[in-house]
Amino acid sequence: MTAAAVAGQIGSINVRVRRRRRLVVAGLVAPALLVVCGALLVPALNLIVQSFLESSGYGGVVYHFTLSNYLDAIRDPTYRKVAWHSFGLGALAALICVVAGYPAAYFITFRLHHRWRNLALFLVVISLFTSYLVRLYAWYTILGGNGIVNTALIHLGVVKHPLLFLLFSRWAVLIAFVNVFLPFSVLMLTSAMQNIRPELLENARDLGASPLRTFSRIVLPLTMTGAVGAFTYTFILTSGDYITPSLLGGTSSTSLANIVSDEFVALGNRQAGAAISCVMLLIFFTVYLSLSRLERWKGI
Amino acid sequence: MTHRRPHVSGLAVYTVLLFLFLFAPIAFVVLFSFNKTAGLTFPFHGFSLRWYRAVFSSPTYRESIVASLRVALITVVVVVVVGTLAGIGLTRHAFRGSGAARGLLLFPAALPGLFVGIALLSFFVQTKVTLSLWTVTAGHLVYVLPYFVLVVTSRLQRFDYLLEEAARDLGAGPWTTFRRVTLPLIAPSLIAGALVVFSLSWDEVFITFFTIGAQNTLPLVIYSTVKQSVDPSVNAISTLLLAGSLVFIFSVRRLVVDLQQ
Amino acid sequence: MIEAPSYLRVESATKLFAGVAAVRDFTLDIADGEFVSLLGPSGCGKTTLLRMIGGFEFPDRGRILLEGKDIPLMPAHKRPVNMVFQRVTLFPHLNVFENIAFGLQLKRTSKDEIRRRVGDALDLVRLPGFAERAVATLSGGQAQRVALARAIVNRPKVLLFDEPLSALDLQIRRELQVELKDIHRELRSTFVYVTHDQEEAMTMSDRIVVMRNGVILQVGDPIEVYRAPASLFVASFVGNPNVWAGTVAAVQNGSVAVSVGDRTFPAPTPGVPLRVGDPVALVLRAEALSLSTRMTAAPELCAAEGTVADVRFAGTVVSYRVQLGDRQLTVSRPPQAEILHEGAPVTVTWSPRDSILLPPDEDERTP
Repeated sequence: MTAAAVAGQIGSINVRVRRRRRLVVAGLVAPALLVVCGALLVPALNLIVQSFLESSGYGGVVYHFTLSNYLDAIRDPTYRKVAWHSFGLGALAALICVVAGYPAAYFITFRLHHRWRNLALFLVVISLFTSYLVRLYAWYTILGGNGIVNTALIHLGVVKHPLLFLLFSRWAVLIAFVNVFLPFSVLMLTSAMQNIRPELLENARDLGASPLRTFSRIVLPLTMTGAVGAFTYTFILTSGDYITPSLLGGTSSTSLANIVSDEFVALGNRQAGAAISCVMLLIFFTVYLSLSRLERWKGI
Repeated sequence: MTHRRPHVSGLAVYTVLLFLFLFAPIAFVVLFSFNKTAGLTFPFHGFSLRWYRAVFSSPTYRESIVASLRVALITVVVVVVVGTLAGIGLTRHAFRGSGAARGLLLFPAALPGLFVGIALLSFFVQTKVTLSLWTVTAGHLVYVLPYFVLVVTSRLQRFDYLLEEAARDLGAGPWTTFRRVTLPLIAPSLIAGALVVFSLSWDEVFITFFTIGAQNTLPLVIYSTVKQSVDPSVNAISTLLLAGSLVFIFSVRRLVVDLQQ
Repeated sequence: MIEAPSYLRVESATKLFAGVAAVRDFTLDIADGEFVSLLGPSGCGKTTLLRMIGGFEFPDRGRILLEGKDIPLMPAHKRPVNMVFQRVTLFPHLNVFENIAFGLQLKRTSKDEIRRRVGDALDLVRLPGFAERAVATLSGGQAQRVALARAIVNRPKVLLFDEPLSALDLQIRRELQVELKDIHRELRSTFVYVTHDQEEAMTMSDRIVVMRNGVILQVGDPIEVYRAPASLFVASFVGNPNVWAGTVAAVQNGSVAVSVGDRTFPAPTPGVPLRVGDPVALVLRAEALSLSTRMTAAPELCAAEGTVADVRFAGTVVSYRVQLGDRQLTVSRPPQAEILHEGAPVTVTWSPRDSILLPPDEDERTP
């Protein structure tokens, strides 16, 4: 083989190796992508299509393009009221989780020694691993007519009859949301705070900054990403939660997610349910985008 | 900053209260699972194991546990295989689509189960697929995959690729290198991830509610029991679930500790 | 010219990364059993070249031949080449024995044969009895020795080293340099060694290849590179040079007169032809200069007067900075000699034969 021919062969090996690498990588990632496409994207597409079709009684569909599902969803005053309450509650839960999480995250990150910190975080993770339904159901034992709170209040003589509005109300839903999502918030904030070197805070203290100033000028901006992430995550998952309102909300507190769920299961109107959920997703997406802007905020 | 504090700081008190808030509900459930009387909560009349006996003798609970187990096991096997491959593909060579692929694989973690559930339900109705444990598994797969991919990619990013080059230098082909060098070293992470996946699938209710067919999984049995009747056996099954979670989390922790060496 | 084909030959190899040449038109012949060092600053392409020989990268142009066969065309597991890496790359989940045996197990060698060869390799790297040790218990020096054993045990035709000692402490490094040279003598295989430490290259190599920006500046044995550097960059990179800029004052048979400031010094003729008025660099190595308090010097020596500006004890030599008018010279003296103090008037002398004359560097030089 002439030198030139060999050199040419080596050059093409380079190209072949690169091409083979790309194929291998594509092959590795393909099955996972297939799962996501097959079990999520395709059904999602179908859902979007459905939202533009008409329903014909329970479970039936008429293949006729219409915007009525969307128009009904947007115009109906009940839906709008429920939407306000759902998103409002979700936002409130998210806000409480982030605000309440900050002091704990700060304490865990900067005031605890290494070993205690790991233990604290481990405890937080334990609470995440416990069954969601169990944590919801537990509030029956606390807020119920025969629950801890009422029994205590009666024993202490504060009230004569059990307060029945504690359970099956918007507040029970809120407390349950906070109870479930606070661990996430603490973990995300702790993780964001662990990127701040403690020397930074000591420096600020040296230069005369009060603890509050240190917090607002240094800790807050540097952990903004974590805080926004925790808020967005909590907001989206609580606003889309239909089980907690169903178990703890009673009849007065239906959420938008319940409406969707009912359209599907109770009423068999998949088309209306699809339209409402598409609107919800749009709202979530908008909130997510605007909050991402907030991440670059530099502090008070 | 001195470390000698004469009193416990306000932050410390706050944090302890926060932890109490997180764990109190669970503690009460455990307490009442041993209640002798048939009330869900107070009054507390004495210790008894009757609700545990009720759980173990109930065919509904038994069948639902088996169903949950089947779904969880299949989900774990599929996700571990598919997720490990994807994790390797995403971290090995940066390619043009890798950011997008990564985003696509990870975003379902932030999606409420409601949407996945109704999308699947609608799809199955449209394609006339009967709802069964298989349809449930499909939903679990898409929900759980992002968590596992996250675990795998994070482990692989800490993996020293020079070790693989050394193996190739000594004459090992790509598959042998993976089998004898990479896999043994990332195995603890994979197992921890598998346990996390199992736990997520076992507990899943948002998607399962829509994709469930004739057979119920355990979370759904608990859900309908709580909604419909006052059955204190729910306390018992909840405590059992809690015990199971603790076993899991301690195993995961052991593996994570091994990891950090 | 027809010559016997060399053992390991790199022929006009070029490697591009994103359009930039890391190695450019590189040609080198290495003989069987030679210890060759690739020496140069970071980014000069030495590691890229090493990786091409090892088969980790493929040249975009050119060939790499081992005993006449193209390395890149050999399938990876059949290449008789092994590498010792810069960082410790022992497999942490296997013990020392299993690490060393790794390559042999892939070739389905018999268990007895494996045991024998691993034992021999451990003896060779002076770690007998370490077979059952866990990798985590090894020190840096021990780990690199095991890595070496792991490479040697496969009896490769060429052993490659990618700055394997750079992460180790100075004392351990010096020890291992000597041992590596011993091992090379015992094994008699070809070693290609990459380093940025000129002392390391000088200590161990049969030949040094000085590289910069992907090309060869000079190839030669250590003494040659030290005494007759091909360019100013090579002269500065090796040894402890003083460089004075001057102009050619006169050209005679066998020597050149260089004027530096208001003085003129004789210097040996360099390889490049010079004319009067050409700018040149006069390289005076610190080790070649002598320091004396007497103000007269032997007539055959060059001399310059000045005062001591700085005295430093650099561990193995005493280093004097001498101010001569508006110029400086660094002179090294053994610690046993009398210590001179700051401000002392001294005469710096050197033999003209010990000075080196070189044209000033352009930014890229090709041989």
